[in-house]
Amino acid sequence: MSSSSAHKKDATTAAERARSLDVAAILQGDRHAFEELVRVESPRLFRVILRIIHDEDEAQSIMQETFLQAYQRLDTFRGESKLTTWLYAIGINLARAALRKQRRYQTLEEGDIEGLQPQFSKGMYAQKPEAWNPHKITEEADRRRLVHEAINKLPEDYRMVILLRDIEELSTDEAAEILDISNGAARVRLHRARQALRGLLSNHFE
Amino acid sequence: MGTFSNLRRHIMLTCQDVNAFIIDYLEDTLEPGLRERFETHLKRCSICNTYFEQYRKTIALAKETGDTSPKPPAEIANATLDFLRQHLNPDDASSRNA
Repeated sequence: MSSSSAHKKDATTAAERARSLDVAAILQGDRHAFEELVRVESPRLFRVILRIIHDEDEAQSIMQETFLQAYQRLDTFRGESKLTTWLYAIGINLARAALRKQRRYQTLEEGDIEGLQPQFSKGMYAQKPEAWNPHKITEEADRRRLVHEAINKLPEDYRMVILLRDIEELSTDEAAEILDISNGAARVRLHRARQALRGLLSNHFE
Repeated sequence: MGTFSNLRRHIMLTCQDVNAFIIDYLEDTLEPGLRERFETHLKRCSICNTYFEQYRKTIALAKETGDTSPKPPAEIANATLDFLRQHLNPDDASSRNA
């Protein structure tokens, strides 16, 4: 089985188990129900946090703190989103706070992102997009490394929306909820992030 | 208002319009008439078509990086449960369930 199909199968199994979570019992503080939440969501939450923080030990520590805070703050969950969306918002906020302390990665500035957006003149592209050379994007390992590096160059706000929407495939509503922005703002940010990423990849693939 | 709406329905979209509608098109939130005009523009404009295909490829490439995420440690859930048992006040659950 390829890593891709294994990943999809794991995701499907996790999704099935997530649907069977007893949210009412979790919200009542039932420890067994909460333990099932930990078992079901730990692998994915760890992966998301690791993608932000890039350090396995710290990712595990942040994930544990996420579940601890979630359990202690269950009475603040207002039921306006899915419980898992609320859980991910806690984890991602903790991971972003830790990332700001690290300041390990040099990322692009907002002006760079603007420069990667297409420009228009009288409603038409000011510069015609060059075709990507298929021979330059066929080496899988190189391709994944380049894309990974390009994503890591994006400013944090843009990287987060790509992570949640395109990599974790959450809905735009869920991504907006986690990032604490409106659906409209999430869509604008996502579009700018994808266009910036496309621009960065064009440097390699044209 | 109705006349303006009818007029808009028949005006060709510019490349800039098409670019602005990409995300709505991919999320299937464009109203049918606008979706048809979007697709018509893409069929007729090779520049927008190239840009749109690269935009879609960018999403696919980002998604692909998720397939190679490191596997979480095997005992990650149990380690988290141990952590929670050590840090949660034993009275916490009983007070909630009371």
